[in-house]
Amino acid sequence: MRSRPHDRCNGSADADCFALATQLSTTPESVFHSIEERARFSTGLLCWLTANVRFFDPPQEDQIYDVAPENISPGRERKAFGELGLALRLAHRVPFLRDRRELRVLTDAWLAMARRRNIFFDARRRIHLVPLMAVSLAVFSTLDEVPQAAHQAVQTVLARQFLDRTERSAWSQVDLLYYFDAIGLQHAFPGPAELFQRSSLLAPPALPHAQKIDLYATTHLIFHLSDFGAGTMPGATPAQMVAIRSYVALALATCLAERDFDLAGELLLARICLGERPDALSRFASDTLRRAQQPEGFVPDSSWLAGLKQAHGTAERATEEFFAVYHPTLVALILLACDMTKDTVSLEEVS
Amino acid sequence: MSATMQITGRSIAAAAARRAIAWLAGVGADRCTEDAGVTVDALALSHVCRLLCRDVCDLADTFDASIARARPMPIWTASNLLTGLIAAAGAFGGETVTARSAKEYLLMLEELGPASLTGPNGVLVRMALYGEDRGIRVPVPIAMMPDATQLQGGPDQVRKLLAAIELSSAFGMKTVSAEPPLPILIEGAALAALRAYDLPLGMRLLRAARYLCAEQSAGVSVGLEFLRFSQCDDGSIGDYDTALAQMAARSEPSGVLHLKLPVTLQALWTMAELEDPAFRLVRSAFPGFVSIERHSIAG
Repeated sequence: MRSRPHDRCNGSADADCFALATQLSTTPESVFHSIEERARFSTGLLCWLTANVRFFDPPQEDQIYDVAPENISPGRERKAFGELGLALRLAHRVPFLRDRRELRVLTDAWLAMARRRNIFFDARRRIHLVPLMAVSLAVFSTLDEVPQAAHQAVQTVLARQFLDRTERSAWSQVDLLYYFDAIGLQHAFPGPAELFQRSSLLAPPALPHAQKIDLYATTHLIFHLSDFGAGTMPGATPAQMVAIRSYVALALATCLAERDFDLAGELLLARICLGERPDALSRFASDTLRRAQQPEGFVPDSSWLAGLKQAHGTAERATEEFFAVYHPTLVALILLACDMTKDTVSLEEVS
Repeated sequence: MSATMQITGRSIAAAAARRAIAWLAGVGADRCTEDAGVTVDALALSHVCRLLCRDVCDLADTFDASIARARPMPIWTASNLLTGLIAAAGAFGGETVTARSAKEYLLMLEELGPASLTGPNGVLVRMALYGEDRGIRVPVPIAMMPDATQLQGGPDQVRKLLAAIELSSAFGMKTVSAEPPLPILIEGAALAALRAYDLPLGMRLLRAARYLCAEQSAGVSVGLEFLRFSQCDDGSIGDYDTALAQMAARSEPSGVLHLKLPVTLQALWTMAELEDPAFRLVRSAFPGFVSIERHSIAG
């Protein structure tokens, strides 16, 4: 029998797990069947993330000399680093998660990597990195303090009337808008209500033909327009909300059938962000993600399930595995954070 | 949003049937009688078109007659059981050679003892022989409560789940309730199959979703739209150009009818049941041949 994720963590994990379960066992707001299951799931995720935090390390930005600054593109390492930061930012909304040892380890590691790698280096010319820099500035605003020099550099880039004036989809604009607003940057994007009305959420692509990227557009629009469930969809009418919820539910059922755990996680998270009460579909989805979780604690994506491409050595294989599974694992952590936020709200309301 | 589209009657299925029978007539009896299985598939499709659209009865009769001239005694077992039963149902009645052959086939099935047939095939044979009004003589075993996790257990598990639903609902003739989230998960699995262009599986899942819930739902509406737009300009259903080109490149005989006849039949069947919750193919196609036969002998 394969060991469960938390069995491999150090001794404090079980105690944390039990404490969480005890504290939260009365809430009806979770998409998880039982709070014990949720706690074990979260322990597995955090164990894997702490064990693999070195893979999130971004490039040493002040030592890249062979590419012109304007031509440096984000790449998967910087993307993974930014996404870890975002997950931590959201996890910090939840006291129960914020106080966990693993989260403190991850937070310290992220901040240390950001400083050591000098991630805001030459921001005024590295225009393709500015969106990720905005994400990182938003993360800094939650985990530490916003570096003012970097903030000013990004603001200068925006003031040049380029980044917010190029042709972009509503999805892309909403993504950027969310982070620019989070750190108080001035920009020329329309407001969220207007972008919502322009978005594919109101005329989504037919599910039998929709591509994965189309469904990621749906989830990301919902995440950012709703501030990951902390707010409501700006300007959405009740009828529009009914239609969006119906679409997301059917998309979730489709992705569950396809065993696409990355998108299934995002769509379940989107349901939470839309304020959907936990129902049988959401509970089935959370059960499926929990069952998909591997003993190491990560949640696999479809490429991992299909078998990773040939890697030459152990290190290369470990790297390939990391990039195949880190995203659904981070999505699952954000899902937990948003699920637990409902607990926090209800507990605060009770107190 | 298409999910909220209102559906009434069977206008979509009827229109599709009208175009499908035109395609079939254009293919002609010569090509449809080159292969025993294709012949039965063609006769079954012709009959389904007749059931869904009364306007095409004359065209379907003409087509069937041309088939009968080329192959008066089809091998009813050359295709799958349901298709053979539908084809025989279309030929049943009258004194032609083909009609007598169909009658013999159905009476042979009764002699075999439909009680001995288990699973969904048993339901089909009993429905074909006795019809809904006489009830199903052999009680349908109550299938195990469908388990939603079967939908993630691979193709065999999915087919077991579908067989359980078809058996317990007698292909939609009996009400079967399912607890959430099974209905939406089946719809999701159907859309996943359609995305993978596994049309037979996708359509079977859509019909199963309909058997579990008579109300219109987003998945059913989306599935119906998908099928509607899968009809080709010639009236056949399903886009298999690449597969057919590959067969041609390998110098294999053209499989167009092998591919398209069953898919077109299933698509018409599925569209009709999705569009009109009161329509059931097994009720329309199978009025109870043994009962009819005995009544005519007694009369």
